[in-house]
Amino acid sequence: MAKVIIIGAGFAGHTAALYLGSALGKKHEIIVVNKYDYFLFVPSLIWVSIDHMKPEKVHFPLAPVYKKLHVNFVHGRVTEIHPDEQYVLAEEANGGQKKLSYDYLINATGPKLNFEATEGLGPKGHTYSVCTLDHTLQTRDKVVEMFKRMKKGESFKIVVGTGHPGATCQGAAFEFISNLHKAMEKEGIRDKAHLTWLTNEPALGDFGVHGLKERRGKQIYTSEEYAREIFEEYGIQWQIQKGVYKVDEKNIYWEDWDGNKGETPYDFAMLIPQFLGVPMKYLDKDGNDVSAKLVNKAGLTLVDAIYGLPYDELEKNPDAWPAVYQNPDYPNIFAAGIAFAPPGPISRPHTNPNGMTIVPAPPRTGMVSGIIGRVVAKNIIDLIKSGRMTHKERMTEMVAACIASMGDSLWDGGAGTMIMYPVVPDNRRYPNEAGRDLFVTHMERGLAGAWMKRMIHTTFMWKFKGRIGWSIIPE
Amino acid sequence: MSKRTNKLYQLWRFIVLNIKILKAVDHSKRA
Repeated sequence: MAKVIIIGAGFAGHTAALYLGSALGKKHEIIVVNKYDYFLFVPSLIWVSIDHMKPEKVHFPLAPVYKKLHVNFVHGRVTEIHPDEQYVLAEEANGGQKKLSYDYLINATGPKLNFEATEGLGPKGHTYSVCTLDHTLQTRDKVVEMFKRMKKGESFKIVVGTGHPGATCQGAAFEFISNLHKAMEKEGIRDKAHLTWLTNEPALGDFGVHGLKERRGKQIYTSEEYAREIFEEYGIQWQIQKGVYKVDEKNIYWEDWDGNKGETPYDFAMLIPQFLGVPMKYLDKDGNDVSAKLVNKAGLTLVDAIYGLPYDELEKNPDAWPAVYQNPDYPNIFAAGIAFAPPGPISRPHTNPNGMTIVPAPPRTGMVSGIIGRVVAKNIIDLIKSGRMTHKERMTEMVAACIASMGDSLWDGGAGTMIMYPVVPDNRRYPNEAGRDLFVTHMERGLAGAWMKRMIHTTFMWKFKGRIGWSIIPE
Repeated sequence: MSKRTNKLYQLWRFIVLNIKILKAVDHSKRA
C-alpha cells in the first residue's frame, strides 16, 4: 500500500486530493494536511469583501468530502519534512503532534503572505487584504463603514494594488477596485471616492503575464488598451512601475523605475503583499538542513525547471518552465500551485538605479494551480500503478481563462474575460511579439462575464465538494 | 443600449465564451 501526503488544500492540493482519493483512496493511503478545516473558494472573496456575498457561500468543511473519497484529513500544519526518511511532522490544530510517513509528497501549501517585507503593510499594519477569509471579513467591515460615512458626505482616497516591488496577483486587486467602483456607483456615492491603482506592473494591463495581445481583424488589441479603457470609464487613476516599501497611517511610500522616491496619500488601501513559500524545516537523517536541495531563497519548492537563467534567455526557452513539478533531488516530492518555484518572472524585470527590482512575480491563478494539481496527482497515480509518469504540462503550454468580476449583478453587472494561450509566452512556437496564439488569446467585457463568473462559482463549488460528475468539470 | 448590456447579445457572447473556454481547457485535459 502506497502512502501519499498532500500539504495544503487550496486549488492545487484539493484538486490533487480529489483525483488521488477517487483513483487510489480505497487501496492506498491518501492524507491531506491543511491549516484550515475548510476549503475556501478564493475567487469569490471579492464579492464577500464588498458585502455582496455571505462568507458561508465561499467555504465548506473538508472532512465530509474527504470521507467520501477515502482521504484522511489532518487539521494542522506541517513543520518539518524529512526527505531521506520520508516522513513529515505535523502540528495539529488541537495541539498534538503527528509523524506521518509517505511514499509520495505533494507540497501545495499556497503562499506565506509576507506582509513583514513592507513596513506597515497588512492587517497588522495600516492596509487591508483580500487574501484570506479573516482578512476579507476585516476588509468588508471597513468597506461597509466607509460606505456609511460616504453617505453622510465624507470623501475617501482609496488605493488598490500591490504592496511590494515583487508582489503578484494583480488580477485580484483589479477585481477589487472594479467591484468597489461598481458598488459605490450603485449606492450613489461614487463621487465620494478618489480611486487609485498603484502597482509594480511594467505597463498598465500587464497583470504579471507580460500583458496580452489579441488579433482583431488587422489590428492588434492589447491588454494595456483594455485596462486603460476600463480605468478611464471608471474614473480610476493609475500609478504603475512602483515598488512599495513602506506604509504609514497616511501615505504609501514607493520607488519608481527611475529610482525616484514618492508617496501616495490614502484613507483606505488594499495592497497585495509579497508571496513566499510557507516556512518549514527540511532535515536529512542526521538532522542537517537540506533546504538548499528542496527550496529556493523564497522558500518555494524547487522542481524540474531550469533556474538561474537571465530574463532574455528564459524568454527564449519555454522548456525552462517545469513539466512535471518534481523535485530533482528527491523525485518522490512534488509541488503544485503557488508552492512551486518558477524559473523567473513572466513580465520583464526592471532594476532601478537604487538597486530595487520592480517586477510582478508570475501569477498562479486557480486554473493554473488546479491544472498543476491534476498533472501531479495523475503522475503519482501512474507511478503507483505502473512506475512511469505519462502527464506533463508546462506553463508555456497551459491555457488560462481569467474572469475578473466588475460588478456581481446578473442584471447589470459585468466581468472582464481574458483567455490566454499559453500562460507563459512561447516565442519558439509563436514567433510574434506576444509569444502567444493571437487568435485564441481573447479579451472582452460585458454582462456575459458576470454570468460566467457566477456559473464558475456554482460549478466549482460542486466540483470541490466532490459531488457527482465532479471530474468532468475542468479545472 | 450598448452591446455590453444588451441581454440578447450578451447571451450570444455567453455561449461563445463557454465554447472558447471549453475548447481551450480541452487541450489541458489531454495533457
